[in-house]
Amino acid sequence: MAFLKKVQVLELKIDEFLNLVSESGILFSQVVSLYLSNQISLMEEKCERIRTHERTADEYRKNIEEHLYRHTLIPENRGDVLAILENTDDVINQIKSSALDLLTEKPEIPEFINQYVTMLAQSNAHAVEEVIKAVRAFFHNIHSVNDYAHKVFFYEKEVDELGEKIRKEIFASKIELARKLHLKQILLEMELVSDYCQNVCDRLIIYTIKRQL
Amino acid sequence: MAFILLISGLFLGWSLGANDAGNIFGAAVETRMIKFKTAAWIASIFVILGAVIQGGGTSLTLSRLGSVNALAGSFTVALAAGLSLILMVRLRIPVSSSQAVVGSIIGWNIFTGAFTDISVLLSIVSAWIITPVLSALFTLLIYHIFNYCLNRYSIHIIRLDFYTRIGLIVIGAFGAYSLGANNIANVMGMFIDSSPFTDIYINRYFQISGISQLFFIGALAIAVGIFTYSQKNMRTVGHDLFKLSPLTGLIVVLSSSMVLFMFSSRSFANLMHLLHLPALPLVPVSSSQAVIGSIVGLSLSKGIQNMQYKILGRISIGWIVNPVFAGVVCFISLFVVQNVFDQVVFKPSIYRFDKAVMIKLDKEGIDINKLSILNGQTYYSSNELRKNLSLIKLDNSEKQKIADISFIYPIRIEHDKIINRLNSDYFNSEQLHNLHMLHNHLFYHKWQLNESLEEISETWAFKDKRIRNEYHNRELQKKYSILYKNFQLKTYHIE
Repeated sequence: MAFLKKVQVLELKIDEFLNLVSESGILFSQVVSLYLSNQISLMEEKCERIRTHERTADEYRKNIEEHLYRHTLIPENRGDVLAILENTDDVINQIKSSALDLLTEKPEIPEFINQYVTMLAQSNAHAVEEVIKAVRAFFHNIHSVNDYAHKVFFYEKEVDELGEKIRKEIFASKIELARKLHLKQILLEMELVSDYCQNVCDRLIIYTIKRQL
Repeated sequence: MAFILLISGLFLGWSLGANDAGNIFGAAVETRMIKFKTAAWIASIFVILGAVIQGGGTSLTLSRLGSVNALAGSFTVALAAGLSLILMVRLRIPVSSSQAVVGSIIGWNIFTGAFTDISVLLSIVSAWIITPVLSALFTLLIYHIFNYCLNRYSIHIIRLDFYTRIGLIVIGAFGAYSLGANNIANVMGMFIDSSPFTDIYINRYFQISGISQLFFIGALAIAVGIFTYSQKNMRTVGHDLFKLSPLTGLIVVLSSSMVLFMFSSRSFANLMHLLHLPALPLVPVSSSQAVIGSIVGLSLSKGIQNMQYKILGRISIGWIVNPVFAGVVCFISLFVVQNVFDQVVFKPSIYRFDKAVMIKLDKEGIDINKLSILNGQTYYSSNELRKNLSLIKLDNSEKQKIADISFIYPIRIEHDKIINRLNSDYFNSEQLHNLHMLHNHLFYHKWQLNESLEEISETWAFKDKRIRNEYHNRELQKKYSILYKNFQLKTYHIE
């Protein structure tokens, strides 16, 4: 019974970890919107929450890894599970890094791309939401993994297309080259969030085949 | 000397433990779900329990095939089986000890002129073929049940791991129990009639029979095999043969253990009788072949088309080559042991058809008019008797009954043996008094002693074959077996 309790605790920790990543995705979308509407103090608050979430998620991940090794749990799938958790951790790391870039570098975003940047941030948030659903499905119900992964791939493509469109618009405009390059760098960082989501899904699809009876 | 001659059986036990424990815990140990030491302890404890509690059924079938009645003969039979196994393993043919032992016993039958009951042999051989087929079918069924449950109930991977681990331990214990119950006959079955062990009485309700002691020693040898040499084989079964996951490993172990259990459980056979379904014979079968059948079933469940026909072909070669080789080795070894080492490898079985026997046969409902050519005759081997019986139109059960009734087994009841050898806790005072009344009586057949005792007192009478009388009849049969063994005359003269 004590062992079953340990199992329950671990399940809760994994759920908590995924909740933090999922929330950070939503917060990131809010951060971008607040920045574009010039509500910097509110944005700072959200960034701080992302930072705390990232730190807590790191602790959870390390704790889960330690728990899995110490109690020799899921020896057959341990490597796969740890790889998924680490890749998911990369997503929240990238969210934090991208949000802090906005906060510290405060790029001047021209109005004509405002709408696209908001859409890009939202698509990123959707990708994060779907990847978390896919990871949860991997733990609970592997048959749904592909459905969620498919959505992640959709949003990742959306983000790529939007990024390309925004870059074209920026470089076609008459703003300074230095500003253009700065904006390009900031946008590429934002696009990385959905790329990391895609990485998680690539792994999930392979591991799901392995996990089938 | 008697205990030294058990060595060949103990070697068979050791090799069984070294090879077959891998079939049960291979997947669990290889996937690191269970530590080797834990697996070895569970396997050893439950193999011993299975052998001692339920090992009798399959042993009885082997003794019906050939009752090896001299210790040197038993030693040679086990040795020949062991040698055959070593050679087959070197030739990379997946064989079982059961096939080697059966071949060896037939070799003994041919050497001693004892009769080989073809119907028993056929039931044993059919069990070998049924084993992988049944195992594959069970796997198909269990796989689909598991798959349905996993799809229906979304179980977290961590929790599923926990349940699988418990399942591997519980089913592994069941598998080890079934292995002990089914395969102890291969290890010690040939020593039953020549066993050096005598019954030990603790009290009225608890006694340890000689056969249980024999099986215990055999099971200990299996346990030693598990601890000393099974780790490498667990790797082979869990990895090289087929990459099993913990869950598929669980399915394979469950289905193959169920097959082993069905071929060794008297209660299951009785249940099948009650349901008017054909019961499986209680026969020692191969756990390796059950596992291979199970893996084939798993491949079919997963829709894998490229079946390893080569492995299946090798298994069927083993069904023929292994027993034939063991039989030949046994025949030659018996010749050497008897003529070079001057050991008694068999005691002659004598069958006599005197007036008393003919009356008894008549009472038992056999048409003695058909047996006129046997009247007054004495036969000095079961083969000679069977040859003569084959001239008369009789069914198999009638032939068996005639052989049992005419079999000479001289018994003399004596006061000092009653006092010194029988336990007054196990036999009640009335029964002991009845036996004293028969002091110095000589019986040529077992049934004569039974009839005399039944005449004196009802406590010696068997009751109708009903479930409520089963315990009484089983206990009484045990008491008669003790009397036969303790009062048997070693030397006698046939009048």
